Amino acid sequence: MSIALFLIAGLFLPLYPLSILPNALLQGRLGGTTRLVSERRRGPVLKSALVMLFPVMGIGLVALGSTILADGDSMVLTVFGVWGGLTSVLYAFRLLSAKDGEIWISHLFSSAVALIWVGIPYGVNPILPAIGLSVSLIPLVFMLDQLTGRFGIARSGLYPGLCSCMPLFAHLFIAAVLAAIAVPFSPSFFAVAALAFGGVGSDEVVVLLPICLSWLLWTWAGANLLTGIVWGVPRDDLFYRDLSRQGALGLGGSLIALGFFGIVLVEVAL
Amino acid sequence: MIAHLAYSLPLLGLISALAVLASAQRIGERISELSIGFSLVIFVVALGLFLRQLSVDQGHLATIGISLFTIYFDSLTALMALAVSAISLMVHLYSARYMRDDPSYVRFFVLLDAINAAIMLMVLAGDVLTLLLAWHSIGVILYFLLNHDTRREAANRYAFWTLITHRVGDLPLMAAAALLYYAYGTLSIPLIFEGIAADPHRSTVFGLPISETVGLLILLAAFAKSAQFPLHTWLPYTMDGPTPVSALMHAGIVNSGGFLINRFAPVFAHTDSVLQVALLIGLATTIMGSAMMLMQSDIKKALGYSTMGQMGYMVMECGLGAFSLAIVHLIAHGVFKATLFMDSGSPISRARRDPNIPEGEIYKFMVERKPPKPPLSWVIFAAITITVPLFIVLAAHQVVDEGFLSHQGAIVLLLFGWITGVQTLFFVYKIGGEEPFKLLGYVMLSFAAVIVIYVLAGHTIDTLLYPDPAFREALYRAASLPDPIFTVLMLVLVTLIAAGWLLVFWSTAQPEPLRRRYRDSYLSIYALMSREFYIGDLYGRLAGGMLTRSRRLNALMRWV
Repeated sequence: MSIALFLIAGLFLPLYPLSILPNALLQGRLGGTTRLVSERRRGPVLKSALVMLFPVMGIGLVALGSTILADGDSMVLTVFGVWGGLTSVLYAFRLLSAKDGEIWISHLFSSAVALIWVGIPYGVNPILPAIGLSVSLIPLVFMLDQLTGRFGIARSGLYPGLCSCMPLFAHLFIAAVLAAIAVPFSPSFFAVAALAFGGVGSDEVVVLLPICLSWLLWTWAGANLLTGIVWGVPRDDLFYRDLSRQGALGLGGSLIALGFFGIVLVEVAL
Repeated sequence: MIAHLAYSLPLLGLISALAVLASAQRIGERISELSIGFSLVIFVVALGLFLRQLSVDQGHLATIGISLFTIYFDSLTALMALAVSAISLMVHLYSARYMRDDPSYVRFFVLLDAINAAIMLMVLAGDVLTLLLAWHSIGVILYFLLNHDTRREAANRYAFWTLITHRVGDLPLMAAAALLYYAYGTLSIPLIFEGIAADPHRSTVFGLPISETVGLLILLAAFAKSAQFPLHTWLPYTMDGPTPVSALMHAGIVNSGGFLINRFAPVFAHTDSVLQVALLIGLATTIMGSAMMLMQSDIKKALGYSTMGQMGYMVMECGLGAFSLAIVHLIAHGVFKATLFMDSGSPISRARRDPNIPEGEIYKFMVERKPPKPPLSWVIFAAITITVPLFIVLAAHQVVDEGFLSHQGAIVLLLFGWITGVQTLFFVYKIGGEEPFKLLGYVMLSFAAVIVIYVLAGHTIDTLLYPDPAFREALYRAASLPDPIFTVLMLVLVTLIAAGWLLVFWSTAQPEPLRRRYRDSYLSIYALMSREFYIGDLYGRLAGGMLTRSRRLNALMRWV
């Protein structure tokens, strides 16, 4: 029974191949076919809700499964921990070649949230790292949506050099990417630290290896995304519309608030 | 009180960055004056704190009521904060004119202030998480500083190399911090050190003692930041950033490795075989960096490889147990390398107007490639060259610290001092000229002055940073090899080096030097070195291969 619950949890705290479903949902590949439904399922609000809700649901299922797990069955949790670690590294590796914004977010979500499994066998309270990792993706979800609104598609390499022609947008986009790939002071940085600091102990290699590998690959993928969108020479044949000052202030303010949230998170977690 | 006041050092940097950003539209290019003003205040505060620390002679811990952002202020912190603020002030002053008319003037100063705040936070960090946070932030801010010219592909490519190498260095530091937190249940650096001193043999990964594991991880983190072989490729290539950034990077950021190793000296004092790794890697980096430097025609790239060599030497000093000497080295190197970088444009500009090379022995040797006839018999000159520097380094050490010969590390450093002196005198022999002994006298005098100052400064800083003689002994002991092995190794090395020098002298005196006789082998080695042992190419291939496999995997899994 507990294994069945863990497997269902693998749909929400992604475990490959169960992760295919949440990935497809985040990429807007599932659901109705009418234009309205299609736009809604691809919209940032629904995506943000999924990004926030999935880990919480997964953690609830894991908690339920753990309560009915027999005392001697800690091996089951270890197996799921290793599976989660492998899933995280797999998606981080695949993230390297992702150029489409929707694929990028879904792969990073799967890679980041799968790391929660790594701490579970070692008694790390999963709720704070889960919130930290998922909330850090939300600014990027909105920024990618802004790109889709302006250029029809959020895709790296199609319209480089935004730093030169949309400076406000570019600076906030950089901040959103940095928050997503767990750079200080984003909550995901502190979530990664909480996972590593709290989970290390019984088996350092199982805990630290996937965390370190995934973190490194996220950085690489994040730099690739910036190279294809922010840096470079802008195209002459496109119309560029920067963010309004008010919009930029709002987004910037929420990113700063996110930083403070990260500090609170690590204070509670450690 | 003193530690609480130290909070102002990173905070002022941060406030400066925000003030520059906020007032850019109103005061335009005068933001540089604002930024310089803050840098000057930071320098004055750092100087005041350093002088205060001299009289206090113990560390202080300060917190703001949370476990993060604690500050540990001790002699090492005071000295490093002073050095960082001085270099930062120099770079700020230089940048004000150098960066004028640059369209990204504001962004440059914001990032410059931000990176100085991050470096200051790293130096002051009193807990491992703040240290990790600052260590990590430095790499990220540096990425943006190096990407200053946002349209230039090369700048972007090498900024990425820098970022990814720094990230590789962040990971072992995170692992070390996590292991220490688990083992001692605290983030506080001084408390961790107390825990290690009380129980240094607690085991961790694969049953290894925690001091060994953490020591190795700290070294790996330091290697990446300080461009040690094979993580060095980012350093010489990051010349596409503005010159002030090169100056800051080569004078300040690369020194982080030396600081980190010194910060964790109480961990290394309980290790048996970790410092030897630092010695080996530092030695390899020194040799590679110095050899590569000689092959460059671009002045900034030559300076880049020179930094690599110097950083290798700094790590090697740590590997020999001479931790405080590494601090002397990094401060001295920081000051002279910053000056060299900031002056690097001037000789090019002057040479374009007028080469102005005096037509003498050096002109004939360097420009016309006509080595003059050596002034004396090579046997006599070789005897002088090999023995005099040895006498100078021995005498200088003997005057300052009589017991130095009991430390293996000091003997190895002495060996390097000897090699450096011999190399300098050999150059006098090669140049030849009409007054070789006058030149020889000048060189010997300069060499003696450098060695005496170096030894004196090293000794002073040693007692300042590590006042407990027993702790200094523990560091030297941790870096030591078993006595018989060390004795044999030294005898073999000294014999080989002396024989090598004799061969070089003999070859130079021959009508057909060895280099010409074995031209094909010489060219093969030259080609190999000019491609920098293909290490950069190897990384490029690996990265390309990974991207291709990632694409294939995604296609196979239909991107979900």
